[in-house]
Amino acid sequence: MPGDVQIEDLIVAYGDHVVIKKLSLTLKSGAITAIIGPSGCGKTTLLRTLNRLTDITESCTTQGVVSLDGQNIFAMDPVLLRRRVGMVFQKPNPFPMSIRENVIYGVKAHNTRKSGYKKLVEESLQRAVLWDEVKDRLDASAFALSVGQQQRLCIARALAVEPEVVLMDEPAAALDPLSTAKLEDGIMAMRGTCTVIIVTHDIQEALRVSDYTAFLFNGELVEYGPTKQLFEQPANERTRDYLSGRLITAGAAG
Amino acid sequence: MNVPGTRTVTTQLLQIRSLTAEQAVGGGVLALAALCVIGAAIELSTTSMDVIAVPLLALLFVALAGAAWYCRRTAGTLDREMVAVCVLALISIAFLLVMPEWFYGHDINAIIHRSFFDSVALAVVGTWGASQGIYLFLGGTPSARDISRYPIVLLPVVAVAVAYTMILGRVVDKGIPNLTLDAVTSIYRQTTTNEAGVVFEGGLRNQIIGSVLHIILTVAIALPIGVGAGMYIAEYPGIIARVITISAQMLRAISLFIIGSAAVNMVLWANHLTTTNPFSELVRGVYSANGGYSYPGAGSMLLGACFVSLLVIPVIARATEEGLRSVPREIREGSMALGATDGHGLLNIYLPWAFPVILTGVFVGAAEAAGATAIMVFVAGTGEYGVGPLHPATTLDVVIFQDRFGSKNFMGAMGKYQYTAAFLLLMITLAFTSAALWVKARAWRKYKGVYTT
Repeated sequence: MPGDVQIEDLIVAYGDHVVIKKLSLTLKSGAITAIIGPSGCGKTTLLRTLNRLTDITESCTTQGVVSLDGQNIFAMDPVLLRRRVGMVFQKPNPFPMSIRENVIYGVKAHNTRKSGYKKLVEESLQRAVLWDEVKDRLDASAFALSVGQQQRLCIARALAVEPEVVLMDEPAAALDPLSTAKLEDGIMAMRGTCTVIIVTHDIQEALRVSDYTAFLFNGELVEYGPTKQLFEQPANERTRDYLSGRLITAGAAG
Repeated sequence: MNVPGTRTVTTQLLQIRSLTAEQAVGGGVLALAALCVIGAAIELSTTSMDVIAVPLLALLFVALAGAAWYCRRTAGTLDREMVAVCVLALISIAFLLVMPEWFYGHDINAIIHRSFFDSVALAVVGTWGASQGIYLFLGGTPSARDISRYPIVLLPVVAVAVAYTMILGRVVDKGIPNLTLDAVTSIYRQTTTNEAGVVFEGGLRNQIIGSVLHIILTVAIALPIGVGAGMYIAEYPGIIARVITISAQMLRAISLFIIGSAAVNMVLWANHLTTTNPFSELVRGVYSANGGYSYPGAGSMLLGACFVSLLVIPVIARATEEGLRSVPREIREGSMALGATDGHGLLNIYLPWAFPVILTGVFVGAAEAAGATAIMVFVAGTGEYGVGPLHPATTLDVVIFQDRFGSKNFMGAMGKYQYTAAFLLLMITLAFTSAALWVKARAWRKYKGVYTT
């Protein structure tokens, strides 16, 4: 299936400060991959490189190849790339419009279809496990939703454009446990429909939702493997230390 | 003096009010300081306090110095601020005493000039002293220090408020009595011809329509250009954007008279053209009189609006820029991450988001256009032959500034409406400003509490 992401010798730097150091990683398409690691290890930078949001930071430079279904993303039009690679942010960022308009914003921006919005809204909201809560007030402002609902709306918005890859940058960071549980239901429902890459601080969350886990430390990939295996029998000593809470220094600043 | 078993008057007073000695001193300082401020006000208006300014300041100095000494004895530390007021009082007294004659003049105006310096010294030392009095009266605590700043902040506000009230009072006082139905419905025109010559009379109708039309035209011209410039500055930062920003700021520093004379130069150029040339009508304005013959005016409403819009464009551009900059980074990234182009985001999210701020800019600009008297009087005429975009310009400004015409006919008929015109212009401006506030409050409600901008 599409959504095949291959990272080869990726180096990302902000000015002189190298954040990602020669990272190579092949992600399983259609699976949920968690990226864990201490603060400042380059998780978010890696994620933002995958849809080239790093482009808007002027000092940011990249080397190496990231390919999406065999195409080098750095040779693509970034707008076309972002149409295939959706993203959900740490803080819910609904647009100042109604719930319905939020969901179809991407489709309208791509100008790919002229009708059938009604069905699309329902499908997308159902995939994000939000439909039952908002079906009676689709024209209400997205700001009227709770933070957890807003975050699921952002997922519905990302799914509405049928992306091949969905990037999630600590999506549950701003949510309470109940909202987190609902959000995770939504994430797990995406398994098999698109490749999901989720960055998280919460290793329990990684254990709960992901099929594969990558552990990043100081911009380097320490370990990558099926989640169960990585959590139960970590091959690397640093992974073991991190999972048991002993390895907490980021060291990214130095 | 103190006979055992009896109490002094001071002690009794203190006990009645249950004040501490510190508070009593503070009250005294406050009273004296208040006298100083009142003295400053009287001084400014009547110049009769010249003789007692120095004694009053000296009394305040003694009271403050006493208070400082008392606080030093009880608290152990010298209050620096109190000492500073004392020093300022001493400097003021010395300055007022030794002020050389050449400094304030030899003539009859000398007393007025002296009074000016008296009043400044009284107001500054008095206000600062009052602050100290409040501080002591409230018990000398740190919070009392904060509260005691109040008069220092309040005095300039009151001074400005008084000045504005006097100006507004004059406009209302002299403008309202002539605000009759005839004044706002009739136009300035020639009525009869008698043996003494022609007789002109009339009202402000065309000027009122002209002012509103002029504001609408100006904003209509400035809005697309201003929003475009603001969009460019905010969304495409770089050397060109910086040049535009600096130029816009410099444009606001240019005297209105220079823009006005540029408009006049335009009219002078158009004077070479025949009346049938379309540019002549655009620039000079054309009116018909005497059975359908067309005559060129001294500047069309459109020309005036074009030049006044030079003032309004920077206002709208700035507002647009600010509004677009206030779009949260999260929303911009959210739009980009969905694969929307910058243009799509700009049209569908950023500009609607910036809309309340842009609208405020538009209304502020409209108020500015209404007040751009100095430009309009260069080109505006009497409005006796009608009003419209291609008619000779006429606004309420020309009635306020009618000296420029030196026309006995116009001044004779419209002179009484000078303040009425000012009042009406004030009302128009007030209407635009209120509309701005109302719209802004409504539009912002949409985003309340979700993003902090």
